[in-house]
Amino acid sequence: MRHKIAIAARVPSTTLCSHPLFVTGISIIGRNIMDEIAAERNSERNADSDVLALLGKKQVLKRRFGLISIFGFAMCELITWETVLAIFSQGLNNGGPAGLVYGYLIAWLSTLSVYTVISELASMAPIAGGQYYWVYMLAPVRYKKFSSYIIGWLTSLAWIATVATESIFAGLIIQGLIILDYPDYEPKQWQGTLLAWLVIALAVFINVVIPGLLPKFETFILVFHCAGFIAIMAVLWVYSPHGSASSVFATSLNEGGWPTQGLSYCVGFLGNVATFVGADASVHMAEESTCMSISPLLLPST
Amino acid sequence: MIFNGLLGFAMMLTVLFCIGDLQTVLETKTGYPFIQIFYDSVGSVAGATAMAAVVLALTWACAIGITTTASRMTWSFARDRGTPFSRYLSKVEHRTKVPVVAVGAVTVFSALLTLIYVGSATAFNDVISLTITGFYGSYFLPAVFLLYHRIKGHVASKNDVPSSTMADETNGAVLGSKEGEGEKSASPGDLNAGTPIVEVAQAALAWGPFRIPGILGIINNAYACLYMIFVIFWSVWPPETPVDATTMNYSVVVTGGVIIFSIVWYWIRGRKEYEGPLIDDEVKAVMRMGSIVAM
Repeated sequence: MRHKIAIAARVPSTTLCSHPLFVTGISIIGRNIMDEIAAERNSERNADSDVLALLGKKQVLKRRFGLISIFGFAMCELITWETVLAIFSQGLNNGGPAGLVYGYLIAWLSTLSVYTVISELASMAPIAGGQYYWVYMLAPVRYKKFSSYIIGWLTSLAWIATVATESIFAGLIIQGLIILDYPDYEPKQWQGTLLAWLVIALAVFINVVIPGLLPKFETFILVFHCAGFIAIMAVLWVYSPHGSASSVFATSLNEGGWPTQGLSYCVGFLGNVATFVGADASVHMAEESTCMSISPLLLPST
Repeated sequence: MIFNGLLGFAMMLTVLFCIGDLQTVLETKTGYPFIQIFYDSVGSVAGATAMAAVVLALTWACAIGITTTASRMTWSFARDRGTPFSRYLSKVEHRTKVPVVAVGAVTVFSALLTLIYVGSATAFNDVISLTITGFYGSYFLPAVFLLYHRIKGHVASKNDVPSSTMADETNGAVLGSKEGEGEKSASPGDLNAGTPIVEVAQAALAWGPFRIPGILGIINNAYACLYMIFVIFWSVWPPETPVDATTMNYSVVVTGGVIIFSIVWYWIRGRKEYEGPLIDDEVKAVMRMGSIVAM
């Protein structure tokens, strides 16, 4: 006789979060136990934690984010127009204005394709671990453990590097503002790093001491993100002299000194790719939003 | 992606049309061409400062959210015993329900990464390409596997979900018994006395609520994989040539280093500690109950 663990499928999925895993899921019998567990933990049992249970995990983190705040969260991790401002010079040096514009369109559509696949995966298994869980789920049996282990490390690294990138961005903007406001100031690179640490320090403070304010904060930033865009666009269009269309759509540059313009385009293209990096942020928040099944849609939409 | 992409494209066109003199902008003292563009545009230090402060606030807010995300990723991996000191890293603070140790760990490591900037003039570029290499590397593998399974038709459609989720001990996906009990595939009959129960989460392959169906999904998935190879290849290139120690792109060193380290660590400790995504005890209790009833 083979030992099988069967979980019967009889759960009505009338909730907003009707997930196929959930539908296949925990049986009525299991339900009572889940209720007991929930009672022990003094937390509410709901469809979201049931989906999580099917993925093998109990609810540990607090589901703080509602639909609007998780949307704000996803939007504000991408912050595309701000990143365009911060790193467009990379593409400008290698490729020039034309390389930037066309590169942006290619990067945008291609990244959309990548994140569509990611959201399909997130839709199959919405869990904070993300990539390494999916690799374990999908890899050939022999390589499951090894490949998911390596991907777990790689994803952790990527996110840690993103923290470094954003804090360096912010730190150097502070330094740039000091340079602008105090012409006598002599900038040093190590000061940039120190300012980045200042940025990190505030991030730690908010995350550790007052995490309960994060959802409200993200909702506020969502509004600020849109308002700031309109304000800055308006100022630039009103006050700046405008270049000609050919200066934008037909000017290429190769400041990096590459042997061919094509190489230069490719190197500069990465600036455009970087603009969209990290859109899977909402995936890793899957255990903290009140509606898991909506979360995957955040990736392509935001 | 769609909404932000539109905003970003509009901003890029605006900047390019309003850039004025390319050379002064690119050689700006402030380090950021956009601050120079703001200054050239409004012509006052105060105005440019205010505008750049908006960008600063939003970038700072993003750093806060990114820290949250990064800590959850590392916490989740530690929860499945993927990292060293996983017992501490997976701790969740009682009052706030936040994995504080993981928050601390990721921020310490990212603070160390920002040190690259002290030594390398192109460090800015380095950390950017480091994120690209890391992310696209981590997306690539699951995307390729998904492509394989969807071509082979292994993924059950949403309407065609099997009526029960089977975790079959013999299919190899399920890894042995509880640590210490040492019975790899002990007698399956006796369910009540600590018999092997699924330790590792293995959900049935079924689509979630969102997917691109049929051939379109395959085309999209295949294109995504090709694009990722292209991006990973170019992400390790330096921004200018000729290359020396200060303009070198160190992302390949860091990414390669982490991959090599994780492979070595896997052979030393990881393969003993890491079993894949684990199933929590409470969930196991439910499964055990469910299986008794099913029997």
